Amino acid sequence: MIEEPGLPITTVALGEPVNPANAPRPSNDSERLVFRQLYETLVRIDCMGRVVPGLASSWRRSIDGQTWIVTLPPGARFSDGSPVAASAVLALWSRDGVGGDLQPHVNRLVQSIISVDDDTLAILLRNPRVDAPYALAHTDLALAKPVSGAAWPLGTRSAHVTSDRASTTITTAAGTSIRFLAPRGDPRDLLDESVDLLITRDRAALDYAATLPPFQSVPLAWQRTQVLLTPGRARTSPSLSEEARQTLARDAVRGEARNAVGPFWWQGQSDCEIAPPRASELGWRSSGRVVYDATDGAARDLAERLVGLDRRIYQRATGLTGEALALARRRGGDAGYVMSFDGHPLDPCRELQVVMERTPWLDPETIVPLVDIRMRAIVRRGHSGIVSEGDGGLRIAGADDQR
Amino acid sequence: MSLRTRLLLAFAVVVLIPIALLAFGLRQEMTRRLTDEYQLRVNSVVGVIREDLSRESAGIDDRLMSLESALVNDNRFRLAAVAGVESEREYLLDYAGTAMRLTGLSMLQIEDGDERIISSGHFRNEHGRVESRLTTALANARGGVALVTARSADREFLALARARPFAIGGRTFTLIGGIVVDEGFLARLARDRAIVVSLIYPGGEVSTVRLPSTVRLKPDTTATTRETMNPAAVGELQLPLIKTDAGAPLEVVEARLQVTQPLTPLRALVRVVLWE
Repeated sequence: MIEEPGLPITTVALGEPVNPANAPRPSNDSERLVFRQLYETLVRIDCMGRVVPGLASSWRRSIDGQTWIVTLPPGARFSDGSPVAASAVLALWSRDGVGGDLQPHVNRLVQSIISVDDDTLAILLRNPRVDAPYALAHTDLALAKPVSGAAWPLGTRSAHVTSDRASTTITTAAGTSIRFLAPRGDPRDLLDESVDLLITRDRAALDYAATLPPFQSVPLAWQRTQVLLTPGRARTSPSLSEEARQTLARDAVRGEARNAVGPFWWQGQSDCEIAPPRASELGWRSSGRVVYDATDGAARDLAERLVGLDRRIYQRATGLTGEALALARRRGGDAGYVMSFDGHPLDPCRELQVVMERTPWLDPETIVPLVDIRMRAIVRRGHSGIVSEGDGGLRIAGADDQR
Repeated sequence: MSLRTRLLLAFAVVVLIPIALLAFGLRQEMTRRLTDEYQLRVNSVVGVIREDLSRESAGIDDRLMSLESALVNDNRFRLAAVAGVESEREYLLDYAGTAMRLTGLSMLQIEDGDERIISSGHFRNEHGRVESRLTTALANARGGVALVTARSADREFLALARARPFAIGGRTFTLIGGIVVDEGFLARLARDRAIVVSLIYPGGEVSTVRLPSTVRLKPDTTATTRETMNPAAVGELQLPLIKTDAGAPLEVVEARLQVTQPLTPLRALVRVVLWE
């Protein structure tokens, strides 16, 4: 991301709390950043969209063209030194831990997996792409070995992790360490300390960083698309014009935003197996609320703008989190839901299935794209070693495997 | 019955009847005088509240005046609002929010000459909406004291509001600012916990006491009915309320600020003094 060589990143400021119980599947951007440094997938996608080795050293298609034959390197180990054999991958991905039925999050991406020998796996993906096994780079398939009594599961990088309320520290076998500072009320406070990296959309923090000579601001990829999900919306209803989306991005959303740019991954998924939308539990009776994720500032701005634009349909904006949000979204009894989608998922079909599970009343053809948003990395000058990957994740060189 | 008994009964009647009459008269007089005292007290509280509201309203106007002088000297505001410079648009949209927090107001919006909201502090993303006749309605309020129904993104609230027109570069703008009128605000007006202050208006009621819904009175219940149902000294103040519902034309209705002092403590006092 930063071309010039420089000092390694040693202190990183986080915007959200990190919960080890979620590892290796992140629930927010901060977890995405920390987990990426600890847990590997079999392959990775580089910033050019190419599949590159992750934990696996090589992969090829089987003779029948249906299955991916993935080879693990002989020296692959978990951070406690135990070997990562094909049977270990099988055990981690299965429900019973010995290679039976696949775990639900694995099952969405993988149809079957067979251990060919100690180092080789035969994997049949649900959405086979002829050119490359992109789905294997999904964080749902990152390898993490639970250890009884330990907060953090073991990863396959040779790194040790400790955490307390104030920070999470990753120390590699080579002795380098990266400290991730827990979020504060105001991210600018972290810039006043000795952080090397802060990833944020907070405009006040970005404006402040712009006035601080030791920092530079680097834009990350347009990674999230904010969309409006409307119960009972007809396919024939007019979508927002590009100009209207542009106005939303400019006037409604604080922080960096642009009009949502197509093509959108949820459109034209005719080959994807999804259940047909079913009527809302409340029969399209609207509460008048526009519901948004209360932890998502851009979603709040958009929901409030919808209320500001048409109060007869959208009477009030309501921020919800956790179970309350999931329940409201599942029931579909509100005027609309402003949600954040991954802009470029590795497996669009799998992503759509997840969306439909959480929003069973939704007809994907009625999703209204609103705006794209992106974060910025505020990096201390003279520091480098941050690699942006194809799925929007960031790898920090200091935490890299020293294998 | 012996003569002695008859005499005793006759004297008892002769003595007790005047005493009972005296006690009754005393009780009536005491109740009347104390009730009058309570009513006087309530009336003086109503007067004080009237002055407080005028003072609060004048305070809001002072704050708007300070904002006005800051705005006319603010080049970024001028660039955005008058010259229409696109790069300063975000500054304009966020201006009212920052200014509202700095001035301690809970409602602030800036309208252009077409009565279009160009910046709103209590509802940032409301910009672009036309708020017809609000400025005029506020200007016409008696003594400058008026209530407004304002809306944030998630709720409606009442505000004591003022409007202040100003001009930059030949263009007219209006600052509309106010403070929220809720239970806390009414409690500050009441000063004394024994006094209940309620604001009753078509469509709602705010009060310093939370009544259970089973005993809550309808907003149009008259003061006399209220007194009959729950004896109290009652005073009232009429205030204009400007209702700005979305999609409906602006409407000025009458809100009643009612000051009530329950007579229950007085009744208890009379009972203690005369019967115990």
